[in-house]
Amino acid sequence: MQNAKQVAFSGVFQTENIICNLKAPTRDEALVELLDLLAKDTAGFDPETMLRDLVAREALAPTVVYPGIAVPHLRLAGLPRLLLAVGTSVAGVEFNGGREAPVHAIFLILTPQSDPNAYLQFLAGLSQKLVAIKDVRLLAGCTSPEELCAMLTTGPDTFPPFLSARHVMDPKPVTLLESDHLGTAIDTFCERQLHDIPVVDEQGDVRGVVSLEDLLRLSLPEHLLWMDDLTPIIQFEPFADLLRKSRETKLADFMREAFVRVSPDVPAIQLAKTFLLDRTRQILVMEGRQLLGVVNLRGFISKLFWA
Amino acid sequence: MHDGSVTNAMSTPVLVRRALLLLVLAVAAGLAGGQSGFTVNQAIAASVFLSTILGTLLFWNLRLAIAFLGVAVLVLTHSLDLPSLVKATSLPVILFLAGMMVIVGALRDTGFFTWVVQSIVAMPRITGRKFISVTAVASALLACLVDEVTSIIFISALVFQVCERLKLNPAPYLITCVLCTNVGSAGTMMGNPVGIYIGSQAGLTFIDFILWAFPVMLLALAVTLGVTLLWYRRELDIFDERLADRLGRNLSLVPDIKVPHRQGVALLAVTLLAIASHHQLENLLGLETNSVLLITPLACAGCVMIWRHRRARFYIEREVDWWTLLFFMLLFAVAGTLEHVGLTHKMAHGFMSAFGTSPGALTPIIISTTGAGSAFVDNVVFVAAFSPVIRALSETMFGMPLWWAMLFGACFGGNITLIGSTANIVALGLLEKHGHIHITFWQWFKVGALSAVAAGAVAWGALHFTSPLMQRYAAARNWQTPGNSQVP
Repeated sequence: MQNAKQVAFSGVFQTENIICNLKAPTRDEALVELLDLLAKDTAGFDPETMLRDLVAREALAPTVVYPGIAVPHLRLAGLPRLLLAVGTSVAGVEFNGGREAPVHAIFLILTPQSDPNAYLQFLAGLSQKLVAIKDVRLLAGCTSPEELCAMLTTGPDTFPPFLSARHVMDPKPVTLLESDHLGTAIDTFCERQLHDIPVVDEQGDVRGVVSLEDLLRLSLPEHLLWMDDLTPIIQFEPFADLLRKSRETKLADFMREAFVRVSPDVPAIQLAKTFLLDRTRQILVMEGRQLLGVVNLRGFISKLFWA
Repeated sequence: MHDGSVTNAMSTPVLVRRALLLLVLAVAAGLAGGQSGFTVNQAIAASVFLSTILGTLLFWNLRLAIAFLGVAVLVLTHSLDLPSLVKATSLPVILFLAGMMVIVGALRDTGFFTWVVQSIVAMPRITGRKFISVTAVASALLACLVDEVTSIIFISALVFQVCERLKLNPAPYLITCVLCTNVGSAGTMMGNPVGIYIGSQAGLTFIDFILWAFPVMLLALAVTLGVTLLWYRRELDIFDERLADRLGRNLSLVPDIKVPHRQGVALLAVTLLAIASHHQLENLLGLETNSVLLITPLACAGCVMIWRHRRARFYIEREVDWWTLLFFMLLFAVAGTLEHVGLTHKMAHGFMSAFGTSPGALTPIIISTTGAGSAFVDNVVFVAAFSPVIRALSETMFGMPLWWAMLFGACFGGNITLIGSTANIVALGLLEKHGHIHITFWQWFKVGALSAVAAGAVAWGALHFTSPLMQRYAAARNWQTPGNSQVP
């Protein structure tokens, strides 16, 4: 099996696997075109099954990771190495049933099932290149595979050597201000369906975290938790007071100042250990006091084992 | 439920410096003992004992290691043989404490402490002064029933909870409760490890404590509470204002809950009843003094573990503070060696030649000596060292007031400094953890020393006036210190 960290971008971007200006106007047709490009390397895999799996994954987790760019992905058991097909479109391809703006570049990635890091490392490297290119329309404007290939292989030629917190974090997490009220926190937790939210100050420095458990802790007096069995207490309205003062209690009054943090270059394996041993659901990725992003356990698992 | 995690991060150079200081002082004590006519074994015993005392002072987190090494030195140098080691560890006292810890775990599980806290916070017509007074008295009485550390852990949770609701600095109120808890711990033999140790060493019963220690404790508690309420009067005014404001806005301190408490109260009542009737049971069954007393918590704990069998292992593994109990065992052994090698008689003679042989004169000396010693050293260490001296003094005079003087000195002296008792250390640790508030030595010392002096004076006065009564009582009950032939 080819290890992702030994792969060079120039080895992955092959001109014969690039289509400049896709004919397909829709996602499924574009995916068919791109799968056709990889047909000679995917002999033995059923194209229809691959298309069905890709579409199913898109339905569960859309892969439009940047505006105008989609990175559909499939893990295949028995695939010897990472395969990439790229298609661009000046007019744009309707990708998620018209719910988002059309995409102008599609990177179809097939990775060996036994190498979960390959996709994430490639994605991390690709994102650096896209940041450097700045405008996706420059990619769509390429008239030949050679031109596109040259643009994408400019700069560092290898994938990041290992998967780090920076690569798996959510760089734009939901945050709350320490001056926000309890009511705002309750609304955010419920509307966004979150478990943990970092609390920052006006400068973006992390001041603490709040979790769903903190809301419970705020409403349940500590002395009740000393008891082994609370089932005999049936007449209990712990939330009345809490809700009555939800607009006067600030997050700074009850947020937890102890939280799990890592620097952005911490390897993914350390994150895995931290999740296990610290029994946390969220790790804050920080540089000094500045919040760079968060790694949630669910997202981490999904990226490692499923994405 | 004890907090054994009082950490004290120490750099390697500091650790080495302190270890050298400990070694030099221990060797110097041994050599000085040799020069003063001590035998080799007496000099070694004195040296090891001093090391253990200094060890608790300089290396709080390593005190058990130092005690291990001390006992090893004593055995290897023939200062202590193995049968004497086992006898000196006061195993019944250790089992008593372990049994009580299991019972405390079950009391917590069954809602007893929750009920106490809920009852305090839900009392009608509550004011700041009323709340703090009731909480402090409850803390003292709870210390009598369980022990001071357990009491302060539960009471501090109440103080933090209320102060958090009222956005108040909890430090003044917590200090008030801790000072009262230390005083309360002198009320019964369950209040403090020194209580049960003194009881077992002096042959004092639970009823003796209720008759002679509890009333003095109540007087001292009233004085301590008065001193602290006066000291923190401005903070209490703010408490009153905030509380009135909150209640005026129709916001409660905690939700109104009916806590089931019958099982917990019944468990405590049965345990107390069994402990209280130990003397009668011992007479009835022809058993040694205090044998029923020391075994009762164990029997109750056994019943608790059968009743709550699902939690039995948890109680033993998590509720019993084995670190502290092991330290006590070895500490008692080290202190017992002083008696074993005949050093305590020399100390008693020195004490008598310095301060006379009148119990009236010795009482305030013992209160102040044990008080001052307990202010800086674990009071169990000090009492373990002093007990043989009191025992030796009891051979030539009526010793009961001296034992009480040592109890009051050791418990009240813990109020003088912030390291004076385990309850202080635990409470301040919780204060730093919950409120990020650090109390300085002087902040504590000013109010702590004042209240300790006041409580000590009360104890002295009470012992002075009750000594004649005590003598008649001791004669009627045929009391004498175990091992002594002197009859009052």
